[in-house]
Amino acid sequence: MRPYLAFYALKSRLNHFLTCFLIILLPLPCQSDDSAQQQLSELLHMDINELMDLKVTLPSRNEERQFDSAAAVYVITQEDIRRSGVTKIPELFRMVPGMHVGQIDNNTWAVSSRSDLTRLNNSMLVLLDGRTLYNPLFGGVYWDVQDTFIQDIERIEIIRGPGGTLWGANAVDGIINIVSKSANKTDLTTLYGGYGTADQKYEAGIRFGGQFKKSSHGRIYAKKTKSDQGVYLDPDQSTNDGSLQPGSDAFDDGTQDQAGFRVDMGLNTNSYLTVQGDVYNAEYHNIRISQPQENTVDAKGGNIVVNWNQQSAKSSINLKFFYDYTKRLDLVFEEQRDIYDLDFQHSRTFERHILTWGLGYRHTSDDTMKTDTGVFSLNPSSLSDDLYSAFIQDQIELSKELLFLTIGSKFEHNDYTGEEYQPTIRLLWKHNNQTTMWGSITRAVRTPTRAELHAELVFCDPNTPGCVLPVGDPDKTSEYVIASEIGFRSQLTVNTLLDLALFNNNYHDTDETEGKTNTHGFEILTKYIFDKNWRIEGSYTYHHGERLDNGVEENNNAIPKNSFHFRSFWNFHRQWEFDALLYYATHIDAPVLAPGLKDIRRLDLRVGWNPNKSLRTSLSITNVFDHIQGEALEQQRINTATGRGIFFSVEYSFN
Amino acid sequence: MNNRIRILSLLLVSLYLLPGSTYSAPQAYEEYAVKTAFLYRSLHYVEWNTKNTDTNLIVICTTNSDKFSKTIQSLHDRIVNSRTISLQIIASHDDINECDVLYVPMQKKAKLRKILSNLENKNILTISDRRGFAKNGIILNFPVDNQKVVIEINIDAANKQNLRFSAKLLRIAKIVGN
Repeated sequence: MRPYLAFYALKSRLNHFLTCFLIILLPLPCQSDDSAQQQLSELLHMDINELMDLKVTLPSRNEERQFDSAAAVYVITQEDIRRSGVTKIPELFRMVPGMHVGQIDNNTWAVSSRSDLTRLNNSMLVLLDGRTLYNPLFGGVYWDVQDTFIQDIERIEIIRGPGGTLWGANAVDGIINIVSKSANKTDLTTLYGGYGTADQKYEAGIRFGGQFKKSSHGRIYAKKTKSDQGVYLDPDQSTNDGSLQPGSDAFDDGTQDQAGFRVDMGLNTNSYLTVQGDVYNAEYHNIRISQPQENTVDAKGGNIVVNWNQQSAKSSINLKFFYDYTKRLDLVFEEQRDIYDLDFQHSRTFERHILTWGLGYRHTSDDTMKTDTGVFSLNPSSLSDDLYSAFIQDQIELSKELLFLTIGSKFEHNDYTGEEYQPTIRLLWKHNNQTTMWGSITRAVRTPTRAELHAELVFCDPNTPGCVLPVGDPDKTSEYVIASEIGFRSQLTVNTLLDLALFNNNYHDTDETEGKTNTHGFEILTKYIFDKNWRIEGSYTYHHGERLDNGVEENNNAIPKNSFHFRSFWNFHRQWEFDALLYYATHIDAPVLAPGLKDIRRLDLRVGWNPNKSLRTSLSITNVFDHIQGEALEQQRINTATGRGIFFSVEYSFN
Repeated sequence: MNNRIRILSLLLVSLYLLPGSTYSAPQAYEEYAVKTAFLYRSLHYVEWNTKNTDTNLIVICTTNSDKFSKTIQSLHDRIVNSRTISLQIIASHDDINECDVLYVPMQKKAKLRKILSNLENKNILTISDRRGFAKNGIILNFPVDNQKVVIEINIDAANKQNLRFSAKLLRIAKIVGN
């Protein structure tokens, strides 16, 4: 049976809310009864010619296949975001099974999946509307400046594991794909503001949305956020040597101003063009281990993304261009970067095949400088490089509506390591509409970062012998992982979903000098609906890492071994919501830097009051237990923590 | 380098200030609400030949099996050309003698053929919303094409059921044969 058939079979057994809930699981857009009724009465007054022009909301191809995807996928919906009370994007990933989040200070996070919890985790691919947020200098993502009008995020797809050929290099351990709403879904003016003592001190934003011309919609937003200070930690829980008074306010607050727009234009019946962009200006503080300790980061950036799409019944063509500019200065290092990226993708359906292929080109140029107080430097300090890529993938229906095989490979050529190939083979077995099993074997590559290739430490006048210590290796080769995964998904009863994934990753250096690393583990997620007013979900994750250095096996304890999350969404009254998120993770082992790290236990509570369609209010209490503890460490920074906080926000929308 | 930010901001602002911007209500509509509105409008342009024309009712028979069938039920008691719509939930497609309109949900081809063969000359307007169903004998079909709902009319099937459509509807519909 086809996915939509499965959907219909389910619907026939469920009332509207259950359907809605399943839609969240699957996940497809969902509307409340009220708004559907209102729409209907509006529509029934329309002339047939007017009806002809209306666009309807449809699940995209991608969304439709979520339940049937041969990868470990979790989707955070807008509803999940709203009801989490979270104001910073990286904090959202605490609700995702198999993802690790460690706050280093109030504007720095380590986010990883199935791998080491470090800030410069360079094995995750993070995208926002197709634009990569990965920073090629150190690897990793500068999470502090990654923001958008959070109400306009449609969903965040998270894939643990290497994902597949459709994704590029560095999608080794996971992919985070943030998708914002099409402008035709934001035809409203929305004002919001919040104030509190949690991560965020205050934030305010406004978005105007509307239709111009017949099938074109646009929106524009501006927002301002001020993040609060955390507190210094005891020396046994942090890299603080005790010189900074534990418990006192830390130098880790910040501000960010951001504005952006998105325009979606229907060009003709089957093609559309999206143009979007953002600019931001931010200042963040952090504390360095060495002098000068109080560090200020000045970050500016802007981007523009143009996306053209043409679809017909059997084929779809996508052409995307983006330009991204970032400039980041702090007391020790300055970095400026331009990225130009062009991607083409074509997909065509044959009788039993869906063939997808694509080409990509990326040009990156950077300009860096060590300041007078810093020692970290790059040689050469400015560099441009080019990345060419191609991929091909075929999804074959081996047995009608039962067994699907996906094979494909990505090929890349970069200026440092030359040719790279990343093949994958995936098998999906749809036992019935409620149960699927999948398995995959993938080879994925992590190319060296610019710092790994060209870093050097400059202690005095670089012309004096002995003043420069090269730490990068220009001949460094790529690392690759052979990832094997199997998974099982089942709609056990009409109101229970179970999702299980097991994996084994073997990491290799291509020159095999630095030894091998193995990580393995499993993630289990279950969702349950009691009735239309109460649903819960919970997950447990077991991850284990081992490193084989010079024939000696040792545990790799930068990965939290056990983690657990539980969420509850309860509508205790027509207008009132009560939500809870309980999060637990085993601490990482850092016997030298911070021997006293404790397991992370965190409870966030939220009450929402939505008196009518246009007004939404929310009161959150974060870190209810007030456990002030170190979560993740970084060698260059002093880590801090945030205690119990309260945050109140109001959102008002109107036409 | 601030120049680049300035240029980008200017670009953003100028793009948004394209002439003709006006604000309006939300424009992405729920699929089945639109289909139901299409059905309601289309009923204004259908002429039944015999049967219930004098009873002041249009009886829509539907299953209770999917989202479209559930949305259709909200047409109950609405007026079309001074006839009142009456909804009847049917358990099986054999139970159709009272129907003026019959909703046929997703079916296997063979099953569809069987349902349709039971209807011969009963003056019943069959409706559905599945791609390709008009070709398979459904008279009035509302599939989605490129994010828009379209009307398909199988004119041969309509003739067999002795149904007439007004020119206005035929003009905008896609006409298919068996």
